[in-house]
Amino acid sequence: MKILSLILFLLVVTSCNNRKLSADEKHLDMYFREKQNTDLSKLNNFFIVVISGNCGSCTEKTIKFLRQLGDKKENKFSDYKKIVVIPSNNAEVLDSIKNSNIRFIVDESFELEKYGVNFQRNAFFEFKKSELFYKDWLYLDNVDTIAKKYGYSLNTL
Amino acid sequence: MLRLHFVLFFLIFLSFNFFACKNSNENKYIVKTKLAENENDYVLEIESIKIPCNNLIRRYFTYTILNQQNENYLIGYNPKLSSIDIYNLDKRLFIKRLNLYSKKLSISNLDKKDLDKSRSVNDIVAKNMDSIILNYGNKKIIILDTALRCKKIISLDSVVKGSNIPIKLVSYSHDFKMFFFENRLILKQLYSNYNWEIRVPIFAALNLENAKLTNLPVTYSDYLYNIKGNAGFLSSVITSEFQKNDVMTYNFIYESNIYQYNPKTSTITCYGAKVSKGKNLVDSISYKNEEDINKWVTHHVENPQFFNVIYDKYRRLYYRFSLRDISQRNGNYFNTILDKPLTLMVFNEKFEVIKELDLPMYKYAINTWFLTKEGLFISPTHEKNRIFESSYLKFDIIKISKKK
Repeated sequence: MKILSLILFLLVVTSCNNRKLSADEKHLDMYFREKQNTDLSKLNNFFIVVISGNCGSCTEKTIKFLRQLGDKKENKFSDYKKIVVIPSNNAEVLDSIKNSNIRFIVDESFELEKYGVNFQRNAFFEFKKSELFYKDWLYLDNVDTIAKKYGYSLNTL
Repeated sequence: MLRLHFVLFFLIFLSFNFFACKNSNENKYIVKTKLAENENDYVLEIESIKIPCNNLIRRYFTYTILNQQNENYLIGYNPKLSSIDIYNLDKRLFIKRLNLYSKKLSISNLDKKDLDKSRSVNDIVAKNMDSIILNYGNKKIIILDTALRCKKIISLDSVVKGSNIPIKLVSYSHDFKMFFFENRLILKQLYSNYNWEIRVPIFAALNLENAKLTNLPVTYSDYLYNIKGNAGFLSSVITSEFQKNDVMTYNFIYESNIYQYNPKTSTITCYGAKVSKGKNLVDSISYKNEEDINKWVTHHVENPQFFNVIYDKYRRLYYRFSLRDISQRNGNYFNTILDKPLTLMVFNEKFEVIKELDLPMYKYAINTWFLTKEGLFISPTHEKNRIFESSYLKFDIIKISKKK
């Protein structure tokens, strides 16, 4: 009886340790593994921004935020990898964010949607120890909110 | 045991009701379709052509076809070059490029990606080469000639100011295409607060001579009123510039029926034009919060989409393309609207079916079709087909003819 209880206890403990991944995590993980040969579980701390292919999604404010996030002179979040995934129809945005430490991935063949990484608005993800820590939509006034949360000011540039 | 039977019975009852409800909607709103008696008399051929050019784009989404002196011209808006490009389709020739940033025109700041429709040429129609009519951002109607002389500008906002109801006039080449009907330009009316309890006219006829606006008695169909407009991305009315004389043919993205308005008799006739595979009516979807926008995408994939009806005056036929509903989940992956099969239906003048065929997957780009005396043109430049020869504009011509 004691052994059975112990086995049950171990089963419960191990099942609790298997963190259930959110749908966004699963989709991003599969996209990066299969299309970018990148294992997100090995990146530790990182930001992922997925730019929407919709009209006007990359506002001046969003570009300012991305410029600050990827500023090479800035030590803030230096231990974080920074990745921006951008559909090819919005790739002109890249011209505005040159010389940064962001890894830009241009989705040339509409692969994002195939992996469920399609959003109607720009999506911002923060991963800590490879686990999704924070997600929000990077649009309109939310850009200010997210920038403020991470200690950036969009009015100073 | 008895309880198990009861649960099983209840589940069967529920699923029966669910499917019965869906079918009853289709039975209620979708008109039955007839097959043409002589459907086997027609044959279909496809010819591939290419026109030498250097235009940086693979296909035109905003365009019109002008038939002048028995020659067919494609007049297309090129967002990358901010120009209007003109081709002679019969001679397979690029003719002219009109630079819209010319000082003669008051056009500026066009969106090169053509995503921001307020900074775009949304639609084109042409009476002749001296009268090319552009809808600039749904703000202005600009009439120009091929020498880029601006002949007239009509502010669409000032046109609706005199109207009793707050409306906006719009047209998009790929959706509600503006066209001439009884010498007036037909545009779509948008209402700021659409009330699904009262039927309001959605077509407006604009007289370009005096900028006078008249409503036409065309409203959304019963089904959209029944679901209070909740059809997600699929709630639009659609038109084509290829119209039969005296009657105006239109349809809706969300249902397979085709409608014809006859101004002489003030009647609207509804024809059945059902596809044999997939749904004929879009499911309703409600919008509750911002997260629901992703549900709209799912809804878009998992429902059919019907395109505009093209009249072929040379063969007395009608054509209509549609995208079939598919499941968004595809194992571990997701299907998108680019994975939906494209179907072409061909009807006679009584809207009896002559042909229904599935076109090859990942070949054709939607909303790139138009008609000339040669047949039905369509661009073989599907988004997933990455082969791009920038020095050619390519088309397949679908030719339907009676067996000899």
